[in-house]
Order: sequence, then C-alpha cells, then structure tokens
Amino acid sequence: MPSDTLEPCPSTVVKNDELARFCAYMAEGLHAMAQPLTILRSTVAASAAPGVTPAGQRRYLELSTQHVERTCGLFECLQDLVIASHVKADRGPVELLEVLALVVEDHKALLETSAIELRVLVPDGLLPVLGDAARTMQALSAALKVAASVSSPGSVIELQVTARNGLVELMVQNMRIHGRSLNSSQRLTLVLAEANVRSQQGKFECTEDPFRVSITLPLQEGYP
Amino acid sequence: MLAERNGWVAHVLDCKPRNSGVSEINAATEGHDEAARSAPIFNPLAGRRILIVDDDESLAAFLSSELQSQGFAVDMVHDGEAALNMLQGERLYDLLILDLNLPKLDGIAVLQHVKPAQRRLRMLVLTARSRVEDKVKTLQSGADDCLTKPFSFAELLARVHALLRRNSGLVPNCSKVGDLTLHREERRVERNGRRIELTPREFAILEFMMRNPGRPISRATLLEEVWNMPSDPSTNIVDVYMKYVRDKVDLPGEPKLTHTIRGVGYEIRDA
Repeated sequence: MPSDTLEPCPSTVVKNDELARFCAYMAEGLHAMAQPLTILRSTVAASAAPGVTPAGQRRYLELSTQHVERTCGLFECLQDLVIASHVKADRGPVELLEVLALVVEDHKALLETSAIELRVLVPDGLLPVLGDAARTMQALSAALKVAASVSSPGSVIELQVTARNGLVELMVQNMRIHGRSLNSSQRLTLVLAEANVRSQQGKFECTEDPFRVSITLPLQEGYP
Repeated sequence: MLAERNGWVAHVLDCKPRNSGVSEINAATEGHDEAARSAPIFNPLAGRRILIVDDDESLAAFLSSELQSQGFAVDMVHDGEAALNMLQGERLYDLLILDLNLPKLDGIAVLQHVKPAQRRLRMLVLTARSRVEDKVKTLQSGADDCLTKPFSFAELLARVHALLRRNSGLVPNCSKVGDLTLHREERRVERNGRRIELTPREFAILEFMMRNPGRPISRATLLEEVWNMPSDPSTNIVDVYMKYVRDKVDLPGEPKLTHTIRGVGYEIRDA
C-alpha cells in the first residue's frame, strides 16, 4: 500500500540540510551587519541634528566612516558565503606548504605588532591535499586572524599540521584561555571559513576559549 | 568667573569621566557662570544609572557614550555572566539595556534570573530578531520593551525616557528635609519659602542626597552618582561643589541641614 505521508528521498534530505546550514550562515551574517548598521543609522541622523557642534559632527563622521568600512567588509563576507554555498569548489591538488607560507607571511606584521608568537609544526614530506587552494587559504587565514585577535601580547599560537589515515588536519590553537568571547564579525569570518572547508568535503571544528580551529581535508587520491 | 578660580579649575579639568574622550564632563561649562545654566546635558532623568549588555563592543561603546552625553550614568559589559554579576552587585540600576545574543549566558536567561529579584529594574531588550513570536517570548520573559536592530539612537533614547518615566513614580516628585523642599519635575528647590537657584550639577548633588536623608554619603559615591566618574582620591571636585550647595542651602542663622561626616563624606538631615 502506498504511504499516506511523503517520505523525503535521500537527496531531498541532503538539500534540506544544506539549505538549513545556508540559512544559519545568513542569519549569522545578518546579525553581524545589524550592529554597524545601528551605529550608522544613528550617527547619520545625529550629525544632521540641530545644535550638533562641529566637533560632534567630526566625531559622527569618523564613526560613520569606520562603520561603513566594517559594513562593507561584512557584506563582502556574505557575498563570499553565497559563493561558497552555491559555486562548486575546485577539487585539485593543494600544496599545503605553499598555502601555509602565504598565510604566515600575511599575518607576520600583525603578529609581530601584537607581540604574539606563532609556532608552526609541520611534518616532513607533507603530501598535497585534494581541495581548493583559495578556499583553504581563506579558512586558515580566518582561523589565524581570529586566534591573534583574541590573544594577549606575549601569548603563543600554535599552527600544527598532522597527516594520518588519508587525511590532513590543520589545527590553529591558542595555548591558553584568554577569557574573551568572539564578536559577531569574528563569528561571521569563521562561518565563512566553515562554509569554505565544507564545500571541499572537508571537516571544520571550532571551540571558543581557548580558541581552537581544526580543518581536516583529504589527501589527494593516490596517496596513502 | 572661572579664571579667578584657578586654584580649583585646573584640578577639576584634570578629571576624566569613565570612557572619557566621548562624553567629556566639562567643568568649565558647569561651573558658576551663566553658561552653566544652559548646560545642554541636563534632563530630568539625568543621573539615572543604566547597564548596557551587548557583545558588540563598538555598539555598546557608542550607545554608552551617547547616553552619557544625555546625562545618564552608564556601565557596560559584554556577556551574560558579567551582566548577572553587575546586577547582583552593590550598584543599583534603573534600566538594563540587554542584547539577546550574548556569550556565556543568553539574554533570555539573564532576564529570567534578574526579573524576579529586581522588580523595579526596567529592561529594554535589543534584538536582531524581528519575528512577532520572538518579541512575544522576550516580553513574556520579563522585558518591558523590545527594540529591533538596526535601530536609530533617537528611538532608543525615546524608549529609555519612557521606561524611566514609568519608574519615576517610585521616586516621589517632592522630597522634604526639615524646611527644605525639592521638586524633581519642576527642578525647584525652596527653603522656608526662599527659592534656591542651583546649577544642574548642584541640583543633581542635592537631589541624590535628598533621596538618602540621614545617610552619610561618601565622596566616592557622589563622584560616581553625579559625575559618573570612578573614585579618585586626588580630586576635590565633590568638596568644591558641596561647598556651593551648602552656601546656598544653609544661610547664616538657619539650622544646618548639610553636615560633613568626618572620614566619610556628607549627609543631609533635619538638625
């Protein structure tokens, strides 16, 4: 007898899961954007209010400029999220050592200024993984950036790469608790990192304090 | 004139308020000259203490500075646990501005912890969720009002005023100590039929003291409640302003109502 209720077929379940995840990503993005938009809505009105002093106007203009930039950054992040969720990732060999070198170079100045030590631990003979170089780089870069932003001067961030059972794990972690919570912009950056890793059939895990991100990608086929 | 009071003006101008740089306390415009009488930051609800809880530090700092510039005393924290600690501490708040999406303990949990214990505390919830169901749940959890982000500060301020006006019924409009009467809404002070003209800051000092008659008030408390500044033993701003208040309240020949409590601060009581 045919069933009265419709049973979702496996592909529908997968699609619903993806949609739910995408909606959750978007909700995170909208929440992040609501913060600077609140400031902008207020500063624009306040700078035009009767009786505002020139110093007040300058202050409101500075705040507006700062938060327009912040909003644009978040908007870019949302665009990238849409791309990560709807455009197929490359599935090619990615030389992790090259990606690591670029990411570390990008963050060198920030880490030095903040007096944060970065320890990079990579095994010898690291083989290429199968994935998308640009998306892997964004994810790793986001993890390092957030790790640095929640660290105190003098602290240590460890970037460790381990390979086993056909998988490579990249782990970025703060070596001690900092007692700082992530803000909405940081969370959105990490949501994008997660979307970028998942779009490569990778695995992404994050814990807040001590901050730790684990990215797992498969080794390129043909390698053990 | 201020220039003639160099002995204390320089000292007073050295004092920085909490979160200085945004809402600066300008002693020069609050001193004993005509400019002080038109000081723009005074409002009848000024001095009311507000706690802002929002995990977005820049938004919390912005709201804090704008509210301070309106004369409110403001503290801010960025997670639910810190909010509970502040609300269970010694400091009494008139209003809580609470974001729902908070680390450690979410806004609804904060509301549910705080509401039964602090019925007088008004709570304004900020949320990025605009669904009716979410607003209903928030109000049912004890919030007095709800504002959806992104909002404009002008709307937030109007709601803050409306909520604090609800509370002001609990503080009587008129306080009396001996033959001294203070009318809050009219901002009028009289002693035995004599009208006493006070600057906004002097009024705020007297208003706070008359809310606590017969109770010694420390200099640190006055500095916090009236100037929204942390305790600072190096400043004599409280003593300076207290002298102005006493000179106007207790004229020669009248029974003394304002008293110095050695080692503590000041007290107002019927002699």
